[in-house]
Amino acid sequence: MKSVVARVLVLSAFVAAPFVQTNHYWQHVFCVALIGVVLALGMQLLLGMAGLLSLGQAAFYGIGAYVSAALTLYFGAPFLVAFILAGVAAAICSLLLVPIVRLPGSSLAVATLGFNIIIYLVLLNEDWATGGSFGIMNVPAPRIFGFAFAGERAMYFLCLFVAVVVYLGMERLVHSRFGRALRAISQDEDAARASGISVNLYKSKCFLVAAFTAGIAGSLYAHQARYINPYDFSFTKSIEILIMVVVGGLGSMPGAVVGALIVVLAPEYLRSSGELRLILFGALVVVLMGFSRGGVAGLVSVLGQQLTRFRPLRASKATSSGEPQ
Amino acid sequence: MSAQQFIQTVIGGLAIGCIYSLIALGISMIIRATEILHFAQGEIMMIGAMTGLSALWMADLPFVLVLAIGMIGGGVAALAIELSVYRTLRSLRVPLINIVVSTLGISLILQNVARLVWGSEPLRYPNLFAKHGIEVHGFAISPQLIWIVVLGFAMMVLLQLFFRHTRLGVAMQAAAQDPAAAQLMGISVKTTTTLTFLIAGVMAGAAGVLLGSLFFASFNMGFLIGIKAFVAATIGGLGSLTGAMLGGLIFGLVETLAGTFISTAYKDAIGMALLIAILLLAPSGILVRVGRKI
Amino acid sequence: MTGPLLGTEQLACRFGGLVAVGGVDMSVQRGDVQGLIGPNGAGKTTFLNLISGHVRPTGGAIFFEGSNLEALPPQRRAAIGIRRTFQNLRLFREMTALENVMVGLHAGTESEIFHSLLRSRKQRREERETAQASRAALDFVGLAGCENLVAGALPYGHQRLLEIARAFVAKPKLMLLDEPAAGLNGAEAGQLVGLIRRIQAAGVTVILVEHHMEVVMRACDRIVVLNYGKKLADGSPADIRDHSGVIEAYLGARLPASAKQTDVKPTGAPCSQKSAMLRISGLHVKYGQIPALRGLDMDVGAGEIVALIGANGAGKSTTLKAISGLVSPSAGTLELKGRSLAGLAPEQRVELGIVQVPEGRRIFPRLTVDENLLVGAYPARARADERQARERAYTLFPRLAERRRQAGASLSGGEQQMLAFARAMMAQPLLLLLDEPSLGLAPILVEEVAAAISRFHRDGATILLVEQNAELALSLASRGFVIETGRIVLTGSGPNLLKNPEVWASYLGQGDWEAAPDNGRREPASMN
Repeated sequence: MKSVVARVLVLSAFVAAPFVQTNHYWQHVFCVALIGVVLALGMQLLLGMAGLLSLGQAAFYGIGAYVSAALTLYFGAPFLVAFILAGVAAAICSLLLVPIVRLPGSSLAVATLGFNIIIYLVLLNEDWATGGSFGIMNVPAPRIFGFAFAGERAMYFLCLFVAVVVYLGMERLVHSRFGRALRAISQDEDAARASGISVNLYKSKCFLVAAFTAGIAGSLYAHQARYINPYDFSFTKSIEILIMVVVGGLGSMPGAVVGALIVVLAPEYLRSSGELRLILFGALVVVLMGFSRGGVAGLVSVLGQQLTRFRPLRASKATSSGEPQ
Repeated sequence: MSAQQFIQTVIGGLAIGCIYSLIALGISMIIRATEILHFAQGEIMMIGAMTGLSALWMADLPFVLVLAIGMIGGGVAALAIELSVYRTLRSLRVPLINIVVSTLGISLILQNVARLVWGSEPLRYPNLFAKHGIEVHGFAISPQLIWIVVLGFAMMVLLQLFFRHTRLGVAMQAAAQDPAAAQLMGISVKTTTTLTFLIAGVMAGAAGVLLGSLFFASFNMGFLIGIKAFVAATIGGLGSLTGAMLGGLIFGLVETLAGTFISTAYKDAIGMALLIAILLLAPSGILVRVGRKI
Repeated sequence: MTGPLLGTEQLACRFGGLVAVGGVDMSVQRGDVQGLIGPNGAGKTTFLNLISGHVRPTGGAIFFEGSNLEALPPQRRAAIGIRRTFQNLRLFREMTALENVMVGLHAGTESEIFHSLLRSRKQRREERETAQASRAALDFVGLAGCENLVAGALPYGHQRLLEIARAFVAKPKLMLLDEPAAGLNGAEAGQLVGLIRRIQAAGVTVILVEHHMEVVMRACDRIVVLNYGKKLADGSPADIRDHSGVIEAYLGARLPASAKQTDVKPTGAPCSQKSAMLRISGLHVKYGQIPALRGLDMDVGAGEIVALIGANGAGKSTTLKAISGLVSPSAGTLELKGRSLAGLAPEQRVELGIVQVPEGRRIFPRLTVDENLLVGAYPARARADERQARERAYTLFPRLAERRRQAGASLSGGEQQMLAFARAMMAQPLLLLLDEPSLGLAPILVEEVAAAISRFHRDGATILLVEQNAELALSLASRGFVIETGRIVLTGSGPNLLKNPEVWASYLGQGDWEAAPDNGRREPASMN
């Protein structure tokens, strides 16, 4: 629920960030956070909109990263081409999941996890193509029409641009016939079928879009970190992406953004507490799960309801008010 | 490959399969009773392994006693988490996905607490078994593997007996099949759910000691094994106890044999591919499960 | 185009041992409102599920506009013009009313991912038209102005209308309505009748499954009656109303005298304070916003059989759930032998001796007969005598003894009912609550049920019997209570109530319900 004013403010904050924080390490972390945002947005479409618990997004992330790195490094392809093809390659690979899309929730989760592990092992072992455990080094910085995004700050703005475009795209999808179909499927599959929706077809399409998103995020990562290896794309990453979406709030695209920022930035801020930081982070996740709609978005809506208690009842799209038991 | 090596490999596969089964049983029990995907089950196993090891450091104990201590460690950890976290979340009536993600948070906490307490280095279990092999039909087989298979099977059989022939066990099954009807029989579903977590924790603790004695114990040993146990449980049909047992054994055998004959690098992948193949042919796993939808 | 819009030939569906629909021939004429009625468990909802494609038939065929629907999946049937609502309201609860209705137009529109991302002119036009048509549909059902409210937050009656709007917006050829009047009050039910006629006027053919007799009589052109999965009658509303077989199906056929073995003297007087086993005063229960019980008063004396009868949805099961502790009352008191049950968990009530045989049997499907009985003896008070109790159960129900190692799910309906009884008796009940034990059972099995109940009573159990089958319940009971929309409206001795035409009216809605000042609710009358 963002008004134009709110959006401009938030965007300005993002734009201002690398100028306010000039430390290169932190700018690098912000880049990583923005790439996380792109990943979280794709996951939100899968889990928050369509209700599909996929634990394999990191596989598409990895496919995108390797394809983009290989195309630019070994074939001299221009960055934009590699970037798009990374997404396309990941999307094509998502077709492998079509047969399992119809599985019930828990089985789907484990099957996508299995898929992630298979891809990870392929990346790890086929060293003729991927460099094996050594990975790929010296991935070139992105060049678009001659302009090289060499510095941290330039890279940040490239990532920000992609994140904004993906966000707007997701918004449009959510408020379209496609998004309605996904939400209907997640809320009541039988009723969705009774309204004419081909449930399995739409689940597959959802995977396709999410994979594409993860693929382009992978491309960004490859050219930002300049060095990729398979360990970056193990199922630990898939679980991290899941935590981003649930911490931010299921079903809310702004929530996915917030969740990604928290998951990437919080451990950094907690670095000072040493060994405790991951314990504190784990505890934070558990506590946030106590809020019904989950995550920060749920917390905000609860607070918001408290504040608007004295105003006349207004409709809200993403949350339901006064649901009967 | 000689016949002896082959038999050793098969027994090795069964041994690791038993370990997967013990964890998979817990996972399936929890899913059947609550529909929760307990991603921290591997970490409970790890706690069991660490507890057993700590006991060994303090005194020179026989293996069975170490196993018992590991089981207690796993059970206590599981009980503590269920009472403090999962029960609270269930009473808050949060959506299921929240509880599933909370298990991930618990997994993180347990791993890092273990790292704080026991350090990052893998720790070896002192030798508990005789060095030389037991002679069977002229072949020498490592006694450790035999112990693991025997103990593993014994525990699984005991568990089946518990569920089939004791009042409490049957009541727990009833509570999992139809909680409302079970309440009408006077069964406290709250209690049976907590017991489910407890028993799953005890099984996992046992698996931890067995695994630790076979390889080593470390703070992150639970993660990958936990995932594999999930896959094993899914192969057998999530929620089916017999399926979890079978799934674990099959997964262990396939993994070990594939690793020996095909490729060590891809042995994990073959297990995953097996999972996907089975799910495509039999979406509910090998043992079809009638009743509650997942 | 002539010929019926929809025809079924020997349509059948069985689930394991249970025959839900057993060879039904039916034809629905274009433009008709076709009613489909029958007692609980008659197979009506399964029949609708077969037509909409959510359940596969095990025999027979369905023809829509002349072609066999065969293996067409639900979404394809929706696309060719068959739309439906659901018995238990399947809305997209977290989407707004408008969005819910817009989903109904999914099949007729096209914009996919690319068009949505680019917001092409085609996509924007389609969205506009979809929204416009959806608003019109909301207006048509009477929900104009609710469009931005979240579906889950709407009042119950509006949610029912929303589901109808979602089905109607696609201008279907055939609309299946599954108990749309469930839970509606008198005024809302009247509006529903008007809506159904307007839907018909818009050119839609309707199949209406309903329990609310007045709605059926007023909205339908033709009615088919199902009983035990077979067609019992087929004709105009007037034909059906006077059909003795139909009345029998609902209220229960007269039982042979041999089945009624109670030696209870029907008194009809409410019991004194001292001998009351169970006393209920002013009980109110709500499901969310929907009130289910609105101030219920009842009592059951020690050693009595008391019947609680009423039409579907009147609140019978809710009453039993409140006694067992599965739902919490919002007001009122429940007392067992003078002691309040407030705050006691269901398990604790079982320990006190309150044992329920729930609706639909609810035996544990994957446990054996033996294990089911074992679970029945779970309460501490029942454990000592468990073995003897089990042997006694097997003596009473020899068919169960034959099947002691079989899984519960493999038993037939009648056998499951016997098992449910036996399981309840294992708990040594003081107060036995029976929720519709004759549901879906063939007449000969109903006799067995009656005999079993008589036996329990002779062995000393106090029984509260909830039944839709008034004949069965009132012939066994010493006293009866008639419940209607959450309140007791009639009470008296068993035989007297049996003869009272007001009881039938309560079931079949034969009173002049529109004229009644309080929408048909009457003050409880005592008939002694």
